[in-house]
Amino acid sequence: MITLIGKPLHDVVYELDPRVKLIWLISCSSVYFTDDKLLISVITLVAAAMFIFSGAHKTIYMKAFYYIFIFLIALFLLAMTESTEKMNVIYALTIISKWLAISISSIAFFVMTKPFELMTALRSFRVPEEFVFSLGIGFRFIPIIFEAADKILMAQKARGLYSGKGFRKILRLPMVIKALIIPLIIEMLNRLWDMWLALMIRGFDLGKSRKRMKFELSASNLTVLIYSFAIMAACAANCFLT
Amino acid sequence: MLAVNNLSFWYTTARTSTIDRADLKIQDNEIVAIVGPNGSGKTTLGYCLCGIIPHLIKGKMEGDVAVDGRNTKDHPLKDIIRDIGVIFQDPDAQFVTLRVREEIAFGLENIDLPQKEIDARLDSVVDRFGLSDLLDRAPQDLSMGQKQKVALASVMAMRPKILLLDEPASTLDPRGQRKFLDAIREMKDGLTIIMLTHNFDYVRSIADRVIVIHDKTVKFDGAPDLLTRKDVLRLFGVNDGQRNKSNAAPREDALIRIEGLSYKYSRSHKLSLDDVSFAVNKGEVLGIVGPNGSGKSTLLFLMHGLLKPFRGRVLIDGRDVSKIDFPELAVRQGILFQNPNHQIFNPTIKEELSFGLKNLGLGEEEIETRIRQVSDFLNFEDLSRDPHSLSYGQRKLLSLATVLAMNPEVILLDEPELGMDIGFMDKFEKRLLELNRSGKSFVVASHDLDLIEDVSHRVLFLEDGRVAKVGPTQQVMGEVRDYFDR
Repeated sequence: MITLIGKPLHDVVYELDPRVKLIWLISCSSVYFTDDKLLISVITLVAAAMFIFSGAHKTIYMKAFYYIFIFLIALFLLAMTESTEKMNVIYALTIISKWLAISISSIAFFVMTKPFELMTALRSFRVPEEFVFSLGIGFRFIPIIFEAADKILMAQKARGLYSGKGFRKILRLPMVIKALIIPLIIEMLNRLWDMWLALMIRGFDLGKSRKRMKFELSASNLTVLIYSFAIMAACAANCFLT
Repeated sequence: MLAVNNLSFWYTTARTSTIDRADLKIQDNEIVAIVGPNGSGKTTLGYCLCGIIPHLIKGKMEGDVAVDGRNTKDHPLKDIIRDIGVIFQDPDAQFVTLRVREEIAFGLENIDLPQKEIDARLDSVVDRFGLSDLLDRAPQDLSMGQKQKVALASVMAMRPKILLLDEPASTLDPRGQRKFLDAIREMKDGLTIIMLTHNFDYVRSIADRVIVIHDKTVKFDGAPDLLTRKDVLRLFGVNDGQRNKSNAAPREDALIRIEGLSYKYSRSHKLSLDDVSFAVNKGEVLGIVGPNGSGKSTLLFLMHGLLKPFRGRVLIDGRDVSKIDFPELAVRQGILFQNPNHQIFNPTIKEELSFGLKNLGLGEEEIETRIRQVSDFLNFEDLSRDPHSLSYGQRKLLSLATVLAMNPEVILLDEPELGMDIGFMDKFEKRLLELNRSGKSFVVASHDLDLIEDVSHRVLFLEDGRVAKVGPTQQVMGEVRDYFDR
């Protein structure tokens, strides 16, 4: 296990302030504006390291990465054929490195940042409460929707809904969708109604500002911040000077 | 004091009133249980008491509700909720944030308390309810008992004078229910507690006063000692107060065999079911009991082939259930889910009843006959009615009727008592025993130990996904009750 100041790196990346993680993600995205190969390599390697340290490769997100990987291979082949330069392999690698950096840093960010941390970070950056709260409710609803859809499908299967195979199954598809969508919408409306009542009975006011997180300038936060700003500055310089 | 004077309420879309000229007074520091069957107007009354009606739900309201002398019609909701805390039946439905810490602070931020006061109140309820280890966890990831505690802490942090609980702890196992009641008892000093429930047995030990409402109005108001279960059944409109008892003898030959069944949910590291083996005999009612999260529902889903086992298999008449198509399986085995809303989607009751039968490929005449057979049980006059307009209890009945219409040999029931009053349960038990006498087998997973004791020939006790005990009801239930009383 790789450690830093006596702590596993996995824990260090998770304990980063969510705002620092967000700035790091933005710095990774700035790779799009540069063509400097050294800069691209550094950003991609650091993003890959964060991907590994966050443990994203062990999660369900790895499935998403497989799809991204197929997309990157296609992109590589396209860039190879499109390039008129002699070093077309290098050109193609540069293009996919940029996309790789952006995609794996996004995956790593979402794996190591809990939804409430993201909301707190957005609040700290003075993002309007209306947006932050709606995002929170959205996050709150995602698992509920999946769970309800799962149960509804089970209930309909138990009534013999999936009868038939092949062409007959395709013919029955509209019925399957109807049997899933109607109870799901009703379930969601019920949930929304309950949540609205719960909000109102606790005096909810959308415009009210919520508690903001205190920022702790630890060594790890400071290191990632310096790195992120340096990368953004380098990308900006490279973009405007060339 | 909370006073209700000559209160009537009509929902905008309803032709008749949901509450009709109700009068009641609740004194400070009283624990009052408002008991009534499904659809009696309990929840509507609760909405009136806490100001949801008339501020959030519109309709025609006659009469008055006064909280500490303030008429709820004349004061904004924000003023009323400073004095009343509300906890709904499903704690999950009222969590609006993504972390326990924020959930507790949410109401306090809304009433404009200074940050120092918010922190002090948060620390105080965290200590009181022992939540310090849960503060940074997502509320929806907690166990059912922990969720109830968080919901209670979030409301108590607001320091209400009145606490209104709608069907409290109905989703908890008997031990969780007892712990919840203990928590309520501890909070009693300086607090008026109103509990809306259909379960009289549950609240009789804690309530100072019981108010029974039926047919939209107050039928009884007095001490709980003055009421027996039989009286409650009579007040609920059920004439026969006798307990139903199973008297059919099951056969010895196994209909379903479960062999070494294990299951693991993808997000979990732990096995939800671990090496479970047992058999269900022909004509038998097998009760499954166990604490929340012990794997009862998972076991039923596996038995019906709705989940794929991690290890082991389920055999019906010697055939692996995973190899039987759902339409064929539906003839042999039916399953009633906890939440009827998950299955209802047709525009009329009749179409809902015929949906499964059409999936079986039955002819129109046969479908009509089967619908007629189950409609006496349903007691619905108009089968062309939209099932979504039915009450929760009626929808649950409809779900059960759709299963019965398929005429399966075995019926799996997942917490049939959830959200149902004793009137329904009495009728349900009678029907179940009647069907059992005619040769049908049942597997009933439930937290209602009385139900299990009344109807089961044998009981299987699940604990942490393992079979802790299985045997004849008389032998096992003593131990089960001891377990939940601990």
